[in-house]
Amino acid sequence: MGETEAEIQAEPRPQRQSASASLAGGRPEEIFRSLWASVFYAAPEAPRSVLVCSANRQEGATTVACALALAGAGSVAAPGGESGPDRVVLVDLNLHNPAVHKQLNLSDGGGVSDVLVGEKPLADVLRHVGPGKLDVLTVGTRRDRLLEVLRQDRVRDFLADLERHYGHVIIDTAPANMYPDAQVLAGVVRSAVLVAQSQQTARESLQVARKCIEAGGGKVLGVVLNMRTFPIPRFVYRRV
Amino acid sequence: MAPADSTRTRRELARVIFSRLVGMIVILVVVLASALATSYFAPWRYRSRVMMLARAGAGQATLEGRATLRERLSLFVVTQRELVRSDPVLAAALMKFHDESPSGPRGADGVQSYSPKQVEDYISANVGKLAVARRGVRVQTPGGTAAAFSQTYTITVEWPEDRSLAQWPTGTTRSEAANGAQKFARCLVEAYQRYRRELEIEQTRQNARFLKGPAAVVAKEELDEAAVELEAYIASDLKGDLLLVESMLSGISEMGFASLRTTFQAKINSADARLEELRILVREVAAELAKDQKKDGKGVQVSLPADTLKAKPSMIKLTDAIAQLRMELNKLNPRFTEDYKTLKQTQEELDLNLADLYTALDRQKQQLDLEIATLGAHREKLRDLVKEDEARISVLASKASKYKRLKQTFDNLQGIYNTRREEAAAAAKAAAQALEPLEVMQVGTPSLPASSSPHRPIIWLNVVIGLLAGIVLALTYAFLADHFDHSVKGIGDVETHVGVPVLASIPRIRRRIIRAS
Repeated sequence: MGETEAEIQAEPRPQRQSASASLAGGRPEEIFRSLWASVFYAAPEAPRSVLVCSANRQEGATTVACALALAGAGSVAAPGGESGPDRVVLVDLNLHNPAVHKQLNLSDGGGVSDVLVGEKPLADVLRHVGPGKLDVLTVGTRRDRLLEVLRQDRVRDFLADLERHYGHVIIDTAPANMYPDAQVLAGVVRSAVLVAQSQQTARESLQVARKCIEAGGGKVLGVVLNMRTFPIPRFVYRRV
Repeated sequence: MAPADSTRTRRELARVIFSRLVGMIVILVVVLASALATSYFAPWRYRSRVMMLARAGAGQATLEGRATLRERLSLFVVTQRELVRSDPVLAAALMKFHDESPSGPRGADGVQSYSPKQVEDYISANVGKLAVARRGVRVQTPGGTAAAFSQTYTITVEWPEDRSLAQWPTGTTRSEAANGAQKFARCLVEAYQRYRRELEIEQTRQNARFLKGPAAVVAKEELDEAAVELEAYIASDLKGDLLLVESMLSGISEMGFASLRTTFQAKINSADARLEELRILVREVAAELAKDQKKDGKGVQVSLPADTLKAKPSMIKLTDAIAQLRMELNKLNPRFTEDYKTLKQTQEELDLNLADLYTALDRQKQQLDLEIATLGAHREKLRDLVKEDEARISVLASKASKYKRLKQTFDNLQGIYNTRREEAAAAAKAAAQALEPLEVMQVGTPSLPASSSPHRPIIWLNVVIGLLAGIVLALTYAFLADHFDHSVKGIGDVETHVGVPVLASIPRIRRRIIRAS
């Protein structure tokens, strides 16, 4: 890994700006900004890296991770392109069902799995997503080498690298109740946000997911209640 | 706190209802639609009525009181309801309705009836049909004050119109159904009257058989025999002892007899004791006498029993005198020569006194003997008395047991006879009534229902009931579904069940929230 490290230190910046993306204005932007604040700014020893996962598949973890990263990158005041601790990196470590590149409309050429198995340097696969200060690592081409990718020592070194160059790291990963990925990563990342779909995720599944992450050595910062509906019509709600 | 809590409760209820609103509406609509459909497609019914009149025969109006007659009429009409709806009547009416040919005997009116076998076969073959027909037949008694000697009741027959979908919506069978109702009512009344008459005849026959039966007569004869036997016994054996025997049977005199016996026994015992005493006395006196006569009294101590002394003061005096004389004699002995004369005199005096004592003793002995004899006789008499008494008691006891047996037999027979007599009286009354039964008449003919106005379900009422039931079912569904739904529904849910805070609550947003290019 020594080589890779040197390369990153020498050239930590992505060369190309492959895409641009932004959050829809208004209410969504507001919500994800406050989520950002409660994840990264709320406590004195707030984490710099956070794991985003759900209990089951199709509950919106990837969308929440992307939106959270965009909100964080967009809210930073400095203009894009500069290096600094306020930059944000979004890592797609969902090896089973990767979707970050689809959400951000990127081509999945090379990514984090290539870096972790040591085939490509980090700088080659980092993509900048404008207009904010967001860099993205897509999943990459070596998804098949799952056990190599998820080796804790490599991930730990990799994360340390990222934290050196970026202020905040957001990692999207596979559902906690279906794959052990989240549990393994929790030992490295330590802080996790659980995404639950309201009216869908059973409270028992959430309990299981929480126990998984805690068993891996991580801590669940909190739950993001996704796709919440308000069944009571407004005119009734006002009256009761 | 309270208002906030109640607001939360209200919102929770509203949430449960509104989150399952679609399912609830579906349930409500289904229930309402089924209520509407069943009441719309339910068969329409045509009612034919025929009025019946039950009244007492002319003889009974005078025979019985007004009140009992009215009650009998009411009772009669109530039983007619069961009769009209009974299986045989319905079966006969249905057979007649369907024009099945009768195979029974020809009645007095020349109409051939269905044989019992035929009716039974029909009943066992058409249980369902009979049940349907029975549901359509009602017997009602009009309210209000009924006349004393007659009472009316109505038989109502409901006949359904065939509203199967084949005929829908024209309903060509309306007039057929109306006519059917009338025809069935006619058949039913005819079958009912015939069956009722058959029952009456059967009852009369039964009563007559009972009246002729020997049960009451035999009971009466047995009772008379027992009475004669009892009376004869009282007259010959008991006579004056009747009261005593009865009191003995009731247990009063037992104690009296026992105490009498103990008193007698005590008297005998005391007499025995006294006799014993006297005998000892006599023996002692006799011994003393014998001793004195042998020794000729001179210088001899006369030892008299203390009892004898006690009994006779004169004898005490005598003994004292004897003692004194002896002492004098002793005193005089030394002076014998000079005082010989005196001695002689004293000797003579002593002899004289001794003689007196013996006489007195003799007399006393005789007296004692007499007393013993008297006491012995008295004791014998007492013993005889006791024996006699015991004999009498045993005789009385045997008499009492026999009397008791006879009396019991008599009482039993009396009870049996009373029952038989009551039965016979009831049978006789029933027979009299059967000879002149309550008349049942048909007033008018069965009405022909108007084919334009059938009886049908009240649709709006059924819809209202369906609405209420639907609402209840829908609410039940909503609350049950919510109870068994374990998904997280709000911030509170997550915090209660998972134990971590909710960082953000993102509403469902229809548009894409990430714009990428």
